[in-house]
Amino acid sequence: MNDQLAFLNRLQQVEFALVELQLFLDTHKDDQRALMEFNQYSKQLEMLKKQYELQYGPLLNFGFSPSQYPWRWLEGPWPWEQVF
Amino acid sequence: MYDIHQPAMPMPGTRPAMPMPAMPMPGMPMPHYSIYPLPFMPYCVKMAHAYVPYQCFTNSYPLNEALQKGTYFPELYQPYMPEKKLGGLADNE
Amino acid sequence: MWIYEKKLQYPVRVGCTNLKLAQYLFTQYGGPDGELSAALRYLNQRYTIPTNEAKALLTDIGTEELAHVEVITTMIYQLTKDATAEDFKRAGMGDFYAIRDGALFYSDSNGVPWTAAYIQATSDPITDLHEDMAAEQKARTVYENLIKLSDDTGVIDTLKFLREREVVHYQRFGEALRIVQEYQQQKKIF
Repeated sequence: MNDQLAFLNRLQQVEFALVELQLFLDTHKDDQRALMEFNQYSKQLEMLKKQYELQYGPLLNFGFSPSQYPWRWLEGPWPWEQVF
Repeated sequence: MYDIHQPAMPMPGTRPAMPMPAMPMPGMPMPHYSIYPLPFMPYCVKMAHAYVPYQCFTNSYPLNEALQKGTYFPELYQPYMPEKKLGGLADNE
Repeated sequence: MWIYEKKLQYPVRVGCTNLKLAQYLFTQYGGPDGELSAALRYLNQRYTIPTNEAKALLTDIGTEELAHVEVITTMIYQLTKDATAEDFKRAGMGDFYAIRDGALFYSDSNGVPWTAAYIQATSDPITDLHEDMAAEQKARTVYENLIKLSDDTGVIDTLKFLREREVVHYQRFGEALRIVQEYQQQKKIF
């Protein structure tokens, strides 16, 4: 359980930087450094996501994450039940 | 309609200025542009208009600190400090 | 089109059951200056606002506000999930329990249901962006009030995060306003 929490926290950190850079780029479209960092974190997120999902099941619905058998999207805990 | 020319604002971490547009007004300081199309504060301000300074990306927090603080950018970190309340002034000044 | 990520934006840590605190938090769920109001306001304004920057920003911030709705509801849920009818009565919230037990609902901390009267869209970009900036300030103030009301360190921590997000959103809307002002200026010249 602790491993999963540490993993979730790492995902939260990388995704947060991406959210901040997304909003920043929306109003600073010509900022090369911000775009470069965004793409770097995006690659990092892709790798982290794959690792997380292999162990703990899909993070995204509608095909943006694959699922093992049986359908793992149903598995808890759901975000509002998660105890950190 | 009078345009008020802003004095050149000191901007943190600015790169060398872009080529200057138009003609500088005689006796007026040069407009101070960064790498962005929009300057830190506008060169010409109008009455009855509100202006928010344009952020320049300089530094960023490490990821764990950014998540904990609520922003990736140190210049946008303005924490709540209730002890500093001074009748009329904002709590986070 | 919306995709859902099965993960909170922020690690919410709630102490023990606290019904009164949960009631206060409702204002940021279904209240006038809450996250739902913010999300629906921005996602609705984006259809008629000019400049791609503003459309992108309203879409992205609107989406982030939906994520914040989830953070608020997580706190409310975890503060109330173990409470019995007796607990509700003792906290003076028997009337709340009578209507819907521990179920959440889009209402403010007084039980007043959410209404679209909390939001506005005028098609005038200056007006819409000023409303958005005002909304972010109102949300910031409410978070400060909630921080003062709370004694749960985990909840305070999360409220501080959400408050700082409002500060950042204000800055972004301010920048969008600058872009729109510039855009309108250029339209006059040509």
